[in-house]
Amino acid sequence: MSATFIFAGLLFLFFLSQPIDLVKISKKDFIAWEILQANRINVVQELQSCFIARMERDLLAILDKNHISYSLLDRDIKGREYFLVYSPPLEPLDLEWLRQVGHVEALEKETLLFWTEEGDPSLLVPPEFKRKPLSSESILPYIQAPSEIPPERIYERKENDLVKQIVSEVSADRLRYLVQSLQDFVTRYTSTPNCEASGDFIFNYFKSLGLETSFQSFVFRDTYTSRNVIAEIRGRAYPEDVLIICAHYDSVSNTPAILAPGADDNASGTAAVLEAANVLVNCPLDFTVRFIAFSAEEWGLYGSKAYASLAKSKNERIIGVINMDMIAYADSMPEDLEIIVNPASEWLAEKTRLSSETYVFLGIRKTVSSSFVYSDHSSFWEKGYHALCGIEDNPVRNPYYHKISDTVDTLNFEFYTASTKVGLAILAELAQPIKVGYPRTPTGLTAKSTLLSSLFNTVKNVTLSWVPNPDAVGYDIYRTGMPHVYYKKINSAPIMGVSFVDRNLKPELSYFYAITTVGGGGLESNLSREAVVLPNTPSSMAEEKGNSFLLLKVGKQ
Amino acid sequence: MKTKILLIFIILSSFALKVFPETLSLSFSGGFFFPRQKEYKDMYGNGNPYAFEIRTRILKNFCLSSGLEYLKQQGHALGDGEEYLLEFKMTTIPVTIFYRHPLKKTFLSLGLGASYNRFEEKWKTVEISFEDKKWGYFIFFSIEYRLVPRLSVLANLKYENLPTGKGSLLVKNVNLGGLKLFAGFSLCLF
Repeated sequence: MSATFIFAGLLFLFFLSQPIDLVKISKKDFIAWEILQANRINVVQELQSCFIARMERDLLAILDKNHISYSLLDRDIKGREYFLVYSPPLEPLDLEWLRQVGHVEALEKETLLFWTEEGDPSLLVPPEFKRKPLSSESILPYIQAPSEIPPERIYERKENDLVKQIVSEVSADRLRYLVQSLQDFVTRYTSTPNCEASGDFIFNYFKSLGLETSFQSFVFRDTYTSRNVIAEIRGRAYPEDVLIICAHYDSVSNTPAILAPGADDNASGTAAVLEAANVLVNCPLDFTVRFIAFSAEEWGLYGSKAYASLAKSKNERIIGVINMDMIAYADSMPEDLEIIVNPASEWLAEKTRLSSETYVFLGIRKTVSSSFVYSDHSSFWEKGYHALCGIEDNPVRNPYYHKISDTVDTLNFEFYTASTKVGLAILAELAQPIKVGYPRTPTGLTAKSTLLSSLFNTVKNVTLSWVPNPDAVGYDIYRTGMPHVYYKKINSAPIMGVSFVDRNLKPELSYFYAITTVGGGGLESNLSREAVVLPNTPSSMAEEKGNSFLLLKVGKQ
Repeated sequence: MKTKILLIFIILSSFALKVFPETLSLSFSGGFFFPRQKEYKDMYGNGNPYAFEIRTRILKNFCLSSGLEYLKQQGHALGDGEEYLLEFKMTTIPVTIFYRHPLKKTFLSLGLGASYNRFEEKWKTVEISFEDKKWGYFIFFSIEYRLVPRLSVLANLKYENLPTGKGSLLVKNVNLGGLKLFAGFSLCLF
């Protein structure tokens, strides 16, 4: 009898549950984004021109109704695994191989989707192919709304002597030694003992500098275990606010278990992280800096994914992530460093460009593209953190890429030293070295916005308040439309109190504020933590309407 | 803009005069405006518009009227914290067609019309303003009592729909329509 009930229940559930399809949704216009947000569509990947979503079949009607163009990639996908594969390095034969063993769908110019009807598709993607498993969790809350209003950009070249000093300490010889040391492990392919040994080497290097160092173990593909290596310099003013400089230390080739020197990919990035730690170790900073060497990137970003997921679950405040991946090969000189960011992280690319112009003079090529997801920065994008990827060329031009010939003698150390300096410059600019004899960095900055509306216009007022600083004679207030760059002072004389109201702002824009302490003799401290005022939308106003607007009975008096 | 409004008014008036010279009257009135949208009411309250109209008979008991209405209101922006003063101005050119029914010295009228509206909202302490022009439509009812052969007192009632398609974060689509009550006098010229 009970078995009959269970069977009936299961049958009922079967009929209730909707088949789930994998759908490519065109990103052509703002409407698509709004509709997806409003209907909480399970978007699992953002690319430059489209979203990939796992959608119950019934929900497709929403797309039809709103005239959003989409295409079905696969039907009834329950339990199936998908991989994004980076296509530029693939030869026609490689592509043919993928087509023979599974399904291949070109999502964009440089992005393929690969899957098999049954079994583990990752086993069929040759190890040297750059890949990323398609997530099953929605990334929709972290996708930034497209904005048609560019923030104000004022170029202010302010040289910080301490940052200049820090950048000048980067040593080409030390970088060469570190790359050589990592290459000497013969292979650093995750799952090999050599990879684990190289992890120990990185751990010991951080330890030898006197840094607080730890391993983060993680399991991936249900079978393998590996470790990320994490070291930290704790910030003095804001220990909870973290900047990350990272690189993956694992390597790959067409014979990965035997020989994968990976000098450019990615001993170069790893050595840059180690060198950054070496230079910054004795430098007191306002914000915490974390140096991380990730493993299993070549398998599908598993190390960084484990780290970013843990950070998100602990609600860590990560200001920005600087991911260095292949920063030492120059196909011609002068070589530019390519900085790839998603729209939300664009400020990091701007900051990098400004830092390079100020301290290093290396050309920076900014690419804003959600499609470049084949390195560790994308694990942070998926969790809503801002991250950049520094890379010598995109698409990759290194002829030794993922080959056993990727060795230290193919690297250009002039370019490599400069790209390491760029990474360090942006890191130091954001972490803020503490200047001796200057007032302390102000703390406790908060921003509260209020909206005032007429029939046809709305203005926003922002009230800033902060904790009094004993070193202060006054405070200066800075505002920008893009995080951490292009700050403009908005007060004419130092503010004496511990609050300030910035009036008549545009509600549809984001505003970012920071303050400094002005001490005796006019010396100015570093910037405080940034306080963010997000844009207001009609829906956010409607929420407010529910409380403050209706509570206020302000009509004609 | 003012010239344009004046020009349209003159054209309409002279058209009416030329075609229907046998009955022409002018009316002057003032009254109350009760906005239909709550947010408008919260900001500006009820208003006091003024109107000037020229009316002519076009066919038996059917009449046509046109003129000018003017409304100016002071108000306050809605929201938290500080108080911001607002000023709202609207100039309207209504064109009404109506049926006029005589009952001895009293005349009852019922009709409908369209209006061309120019409106402007200004924040008095901040450099913010908004200006636009929109068409609206309305239903119309009037009662008129003849005091002496050429002079009458009148009361008009109009309910107008004037969607602007514009708004702010607080009101997505502002509708400037509502109920207008006018009282005044009418002077018969011909």
